[in-house]
Amino acid sequence: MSYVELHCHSNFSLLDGSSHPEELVARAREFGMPALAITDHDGLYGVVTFYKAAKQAGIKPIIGAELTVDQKYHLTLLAKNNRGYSNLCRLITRAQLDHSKGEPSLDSSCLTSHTDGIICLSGCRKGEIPSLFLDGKASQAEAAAGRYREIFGDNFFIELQNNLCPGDEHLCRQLAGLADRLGTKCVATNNVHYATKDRHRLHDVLVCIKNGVTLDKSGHLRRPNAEFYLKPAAEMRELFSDYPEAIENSLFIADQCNVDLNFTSYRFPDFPLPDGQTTESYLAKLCWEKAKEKYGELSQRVRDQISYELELIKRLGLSGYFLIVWDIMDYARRNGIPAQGRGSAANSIVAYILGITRVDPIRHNLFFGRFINEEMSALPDIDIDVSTNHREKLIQYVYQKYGEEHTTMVSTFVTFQARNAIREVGKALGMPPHILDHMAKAVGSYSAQDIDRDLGSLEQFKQYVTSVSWQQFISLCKEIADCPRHPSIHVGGMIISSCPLSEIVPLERATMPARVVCQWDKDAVEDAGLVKVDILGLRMLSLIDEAVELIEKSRGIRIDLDKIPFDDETVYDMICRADTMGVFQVESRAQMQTLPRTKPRSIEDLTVEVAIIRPGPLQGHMVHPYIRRKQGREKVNYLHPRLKPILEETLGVILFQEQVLRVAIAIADFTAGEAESLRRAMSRKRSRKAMEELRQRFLQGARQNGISKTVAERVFDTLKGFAEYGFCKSHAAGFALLAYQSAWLKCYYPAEFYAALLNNQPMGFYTPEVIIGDAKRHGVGVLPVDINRSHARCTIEEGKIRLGFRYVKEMGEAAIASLEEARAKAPFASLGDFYRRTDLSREAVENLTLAGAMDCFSKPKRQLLWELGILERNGRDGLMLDYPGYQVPLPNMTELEELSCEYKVQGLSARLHPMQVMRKEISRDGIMRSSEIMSLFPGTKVRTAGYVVCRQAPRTAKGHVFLTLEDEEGLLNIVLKPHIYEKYRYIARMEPLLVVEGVLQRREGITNVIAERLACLRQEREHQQAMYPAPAPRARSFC
Amino acid sequence: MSRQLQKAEEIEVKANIAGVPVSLTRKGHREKVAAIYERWRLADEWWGKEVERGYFRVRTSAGLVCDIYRDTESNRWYLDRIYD
Repeated sequence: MSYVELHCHSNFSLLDGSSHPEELVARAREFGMPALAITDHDGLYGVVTFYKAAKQAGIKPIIGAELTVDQKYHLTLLAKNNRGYSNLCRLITRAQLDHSKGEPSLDSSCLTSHTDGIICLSGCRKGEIPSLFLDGKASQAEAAAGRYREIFGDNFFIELQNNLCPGDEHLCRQLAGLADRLGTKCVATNNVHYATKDRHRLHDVLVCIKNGVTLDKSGHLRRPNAEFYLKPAAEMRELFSDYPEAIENSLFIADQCNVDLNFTSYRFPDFPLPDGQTTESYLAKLCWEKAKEKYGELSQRVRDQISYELELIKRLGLSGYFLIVWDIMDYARRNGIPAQGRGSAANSIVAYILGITRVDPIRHNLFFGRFINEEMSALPDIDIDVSTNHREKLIQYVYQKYGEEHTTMVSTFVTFQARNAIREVGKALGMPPHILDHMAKAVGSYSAQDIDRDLGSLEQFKQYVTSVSWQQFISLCKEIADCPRHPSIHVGGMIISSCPLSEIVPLERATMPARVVCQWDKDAVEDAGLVKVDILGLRMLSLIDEAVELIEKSRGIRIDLDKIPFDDETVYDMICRADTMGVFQVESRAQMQTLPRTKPRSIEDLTVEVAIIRPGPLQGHMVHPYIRRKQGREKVNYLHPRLKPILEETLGVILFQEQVLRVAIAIADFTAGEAESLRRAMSRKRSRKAMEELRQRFLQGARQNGISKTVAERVFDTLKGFAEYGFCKSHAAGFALLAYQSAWLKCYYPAEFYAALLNNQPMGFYTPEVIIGDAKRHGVGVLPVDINRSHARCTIEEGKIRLGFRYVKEMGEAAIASLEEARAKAPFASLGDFYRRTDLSREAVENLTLAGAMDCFSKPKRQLLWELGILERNGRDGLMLDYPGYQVPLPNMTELEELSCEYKVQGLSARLHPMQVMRKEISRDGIMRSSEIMSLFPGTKVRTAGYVVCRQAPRTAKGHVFLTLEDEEGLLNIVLKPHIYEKYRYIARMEPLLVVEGVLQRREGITNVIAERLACLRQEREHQQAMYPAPAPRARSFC
Repeated sequence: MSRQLQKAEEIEVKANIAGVPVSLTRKGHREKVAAIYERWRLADEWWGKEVERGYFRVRTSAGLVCDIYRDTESNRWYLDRIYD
């Protein structure tokens, strides 16, 4: 006789279950278990993953949850049918929303409604009935059981658990007796918290993490043994040999549970239409009207494309979807919210005409089939990039328009990865905190799976590697990798539905006040077939918007970035010499190394540029052939003439997903839908069988077109090689536009550009202090914070950037507001005046002083700080004494001290660069500046030093590591070959200021230093100080 | 009432194929196990010195009710608690 587990926690019972839903399913399959339930705490987080895995394994998924009732009891609920599933969602939603976040609880009074289609099991030891028995309150237990029986009738079962804990067997006897007297059936479960026995260790660790204790001190919180694993029928029969019917009833219940998580009958909300219009007719009307605005006189090609798309959209029933997205974008446009559609949607002319996307698919030769085609089974995805500063407003609009019952945000799960795994697992094991801190900072890999390889190779930790406790630590970290830790709101996903959402997926509170989020993440939402619109914050849009505003304010010009010429040579000159810090998508180190070789000089070129410098294309060996052909070092050829019109724009190399589709259509007569399936199959490493089938079809289609087998095979192989890594062209095109616009701003309005860049951090590839260096090198002056002239954000003052108060630590909104209010009455005349008229904290005033904000009072910083001390002592209401001529003999700060203080309070310096300050102390022994190095011949041995602004170890680089150093004159690229990196790994990873010795390399206009030796600057300084003792005063080390 | 032994006393136990105790010998006296009231398992301190034990609450033929356990690692039996 078989058995079905009906009480089972996955790791979506956060910090409790320690196995993934897939692992539980796999284990059940090994046992030949015909069905399996998932019952996580107060949620259905893992249900879609579980459902999919179970179906694939041929096991019937039973959907349930373990609810918290009246804030103390547990209750196991299982859905019998879809109605029961909806009711379960509703109950969980009540439990979540009726209480504060993270403390869900269902009032038992709610159980009387919404119970249709739900099976109720009396629960684990924390269930009401067992708890009462354990408390010696047998009659109350009986009464409670009676109540449940009344509510659930025959759908109520007494749950028996025997995890071989002290008292379990006795409790079983009591419960079985009760069931007998009540005439209720009982059922056996194992309160499963992990798939296999060995995972009990991770379970114990999770309990410690949840409660913030170490294993040694967790005795009372942990389960007494390791019996909470998924057990096969034989083991369960043995445990319940006295109650065989309890085992039988697990099958009895499983038989009754049949839930189908198929939401295809669900439709997105109907769009409010003007009289006499249907969704299709209204969409068409809008399109034809607006088409003239975009294209003027409509050519035949444009007409044909519009008609084709409208027809397909109508046939697939997607008109409503387009109207919904159009409405959101229209609201954005009307309210000055910078936004643009991203991704494959930009392939659509309808989307372009409606203003959803900004890319003209005709002009950019895009392909609608990549976005929408006949055979698509899922809804298309339209994602919207919106300026981060305006994102909330747009989200609120959607909530208001469709109502809170029908709109919600999508979840995401923060998972355990290398850093947090090290810290939290290590803490539970009682490992010393400083070592954990060290390890967490030194680890390079992201995934907790790779920790032993990563840390084990570092000198510092080699000694621990063989110890038993290290092995345990590592193995636990590997087990915890990818386990969900806590839910969070996804960056932009919103669901809009026609029926109340709480019938489909439970809702819960988000950390943001009044915000409600559903319990599924974007993958689950997609798999369940729900309509999702991603509203993503893109800081570049905020930057562009702000720069345009600053330009208007400082120069009185209103720029329309959609109307600037897109073929300005000066702008492309700047891009081609890799002067692209701050420019969207092309500022990374890798990009800067490629731009002088590919030399993009048009939006089309930029589209390619944006698409190719990514791990995928680099791995797929697409980038180098393209670059060689662009430079004329390789001949452009095509495997077959039919490929020429498709691949001409990329010199015969397949770079874009759209091209993969077009090739399949041109060579083998695939339809757009079939081609898209082919592309997806290739990009997801489907089964060999599926690939072989597709291959045969391709070859057959090619043969029918009179194309030779050899050529057809080669084309197919090329497709296979590139399909996995190809980039979506429409997506790249949308980004290329932004790249050009940001470059144009940097070129013509650098001050405003940099100010906007500083105001919208964190963003981009470089940190604020590096951005300031770039600004200065472009002739833009940077003025320090000034108590009388600065504002919260950076502003433009006489063509220079005036740093804003927001950069100074302790200057929060309230502090800034207080300052501005006082200043509005009259400018500040002295430190004392400032101190008395505002109520900023001591720290804030001190930080402002150290940042140079009080320099306008013409006193040295030390003196001001001393004055501040006195003011503090006298209090704000003290005598209004200034200290006019009172000179205190305090030594002035050295440059190093000033720099150090400025970095401490605002993370940057307006005036000084670390290398500028250090330069005097390391000017011997041939240490050169970046500008000096640029003019040397390749092959020269050089010694240089700089501040590390970038460290990269791309997977495609086979162990090479790249550093970018900055000094007062510019950036310098350093290449560390694998053996050099290994030798100097710790320094390379942790030191902010480095000295590098190596050989100069120059190729195709790009200069690199191939390092041979690394040292930290501190050591070099000490060395030079010792070798060349100078009369200059000894500087103190960094604060 | 019961008392837990200060230090668990090692005893000799004969168990059947399923690992269930059949007789126990303590201080030279051998008594048959007449009834098994309860059984449970403890597993602890796997991160240090691992402890795993299977407990049984038994009544012997002589009328003694006590808790005994088998330590998994050493395969030895101990008397843990006596009920009067």
